[in-house]
Amino acid sequence: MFLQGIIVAIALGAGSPAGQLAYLSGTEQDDLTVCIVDVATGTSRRIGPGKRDGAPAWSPDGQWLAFESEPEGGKRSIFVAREDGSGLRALTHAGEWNSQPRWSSDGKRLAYTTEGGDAKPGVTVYDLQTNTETRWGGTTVPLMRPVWVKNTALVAVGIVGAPPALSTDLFNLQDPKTLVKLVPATQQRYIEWAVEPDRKGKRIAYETNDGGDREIFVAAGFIIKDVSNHRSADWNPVWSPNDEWVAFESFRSGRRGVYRVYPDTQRVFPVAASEAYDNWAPTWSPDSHRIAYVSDREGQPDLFVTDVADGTTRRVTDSPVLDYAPAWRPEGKAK
Amino acid sequence: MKAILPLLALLLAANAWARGADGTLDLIRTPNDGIPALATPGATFDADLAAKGELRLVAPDGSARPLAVQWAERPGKRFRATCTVPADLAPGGYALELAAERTDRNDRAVYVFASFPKAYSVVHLTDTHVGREGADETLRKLVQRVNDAKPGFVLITGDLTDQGTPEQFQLFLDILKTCAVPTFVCAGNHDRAGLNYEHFYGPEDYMFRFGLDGYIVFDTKDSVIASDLGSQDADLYRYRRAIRSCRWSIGASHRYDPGMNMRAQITLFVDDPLNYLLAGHEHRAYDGPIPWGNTRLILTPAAKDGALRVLLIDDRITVLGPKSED
Repeated sequence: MFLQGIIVAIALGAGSPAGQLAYLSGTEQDDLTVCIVDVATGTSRRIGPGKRDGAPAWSPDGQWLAFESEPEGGKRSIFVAREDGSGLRALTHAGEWNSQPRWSSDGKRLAYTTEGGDAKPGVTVYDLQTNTETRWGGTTVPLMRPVWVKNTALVAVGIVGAPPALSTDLFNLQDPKTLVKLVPATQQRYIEWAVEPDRKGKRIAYETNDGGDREIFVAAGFIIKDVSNHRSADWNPVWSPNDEWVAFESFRSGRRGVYRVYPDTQRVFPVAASEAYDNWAPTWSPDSHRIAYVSDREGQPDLFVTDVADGTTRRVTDSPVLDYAPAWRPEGKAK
Repeated sequence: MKAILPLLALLLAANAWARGADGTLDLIRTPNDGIPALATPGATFDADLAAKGELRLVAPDGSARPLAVQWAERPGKRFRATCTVPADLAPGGYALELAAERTDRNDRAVYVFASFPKAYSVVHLTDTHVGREGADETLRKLVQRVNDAKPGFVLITGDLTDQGTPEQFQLFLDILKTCAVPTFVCAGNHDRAGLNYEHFYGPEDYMFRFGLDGYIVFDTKDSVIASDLGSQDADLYRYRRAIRSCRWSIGASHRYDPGMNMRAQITLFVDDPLNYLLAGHEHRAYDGPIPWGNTRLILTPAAKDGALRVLLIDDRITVLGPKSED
């Protein structure tokens, strides 16, 4: 028994992963709160106001967090706060519903989706130095879920066509006025979603139903590859910080699991997959060696971290409430 | 007095009634009178339980039949009991009773059919808003109409209550008890007061089959933050796959809005489109395509205003009731 205790202690101590995760915690949608947990110790602290907080995203230098929240009687707004919780403020918005903030790689601007009223959803860019909002991509095509390609351009999902034959296309927003289709149009109507560029801005991963079921595709210039090919759905690609791997969610085990693929060879490896419970929402550690994710293996959603090389898994949160949407804090400096 | 207390406790346990004293679910999560199990004699149904014990079906006359059960542990100290309906059990509605550390019982939880008909009808009610003045009386009259019509089952798509208080859920349940056919419910925005809905009905998303056809009942909530967080996305994908081979695949939700959770829309209306989606929320009638193309949206006006809709389901589906307002 004594020896067993020592072995357990060594196993927990050895290779305890360092780092911090921003995440959402709460008993239900209405009280979700942005928190930060230390991966090694499991110590957690509250950052957000806890008013339907959502979508935490770290600045590239890891000093600031952006997230959604709904102040009492107010709009759904983008908030920013320092990693210690200081400097919390809501951005001033023209639109009613602002969601899914993403930082430019220099940390000076945020892009997000703006909706509300009779206006079509669109992409807004907020300059944190001048505190001004600018609409990007015009108002012709409804645009959602923008992501930066380095500092200069955005990629967003656009809704095209007319009911009852809507579909989506990926658009490149090179400046506030220029909107260019990223993937060439075909005769078929495909629904593309969850677009993610790599850090260098050379390859773009996204999901599409081109090919029959939902797959992860990677586009590099004119070359587009299905990198996850499987008859079950593959969702939500996320590039590793070293731009070598794409983590994604797949149902190939029967339940939702986390997998990683090397896009050049299309070889897929499981990270956290089970026939009995779900694992989802992967986020990479800054060194690309570990992946944090949500798992309900203990009955309710908690955060776990798995070492991608040896599969060692560690539970990070163990609270009586629900924990979601982890975002691993970067260590680098803004470029 | 000390000697009487254990006796009293035993007596109370023996008489424990469905849903505990406050009307919320206890050891038996599902099936219940908002998410009943439908089965034929000799077939199986699953129960989601917080304890292991002896399970039996109790008929309205009080007679009980024990169930043969296969047990499986689930994450979170829960148990899935796969129960076999006795082959000689008479068709009808039954309570499910669990004798564990205490006795729990869910009335109107299991409905046994001699066989599932190929042609049948479904009543769609929505926005009952129990708690609003006059709404309970209107619902009682609608339930009487349902009992006269004898559909296969009733779908009630949210805003069951006006403010989602335990008292309003309790009143809604009391009225539902008078319904002679299975009743399936989902939550609406008015039912969202803390976790009251979950305490009274359990899961927000589920699927069931009625003979040849498959149904997915889900709650889109009323905010995009529902989209990328929890297990709903995965549940909907699995449910959709599970009813892929059905003759008709039909969704039921409180609300449809083109701005709702995009992942749910991709799963249910794009990649593998449902044939129909039944919804409410707007308190108006509509019958038309969902903007993605292949799913037909049927909106039914509010039950609190006395409205209901009937779907005649066979190799074609006929929608009866209020005419589309646009």
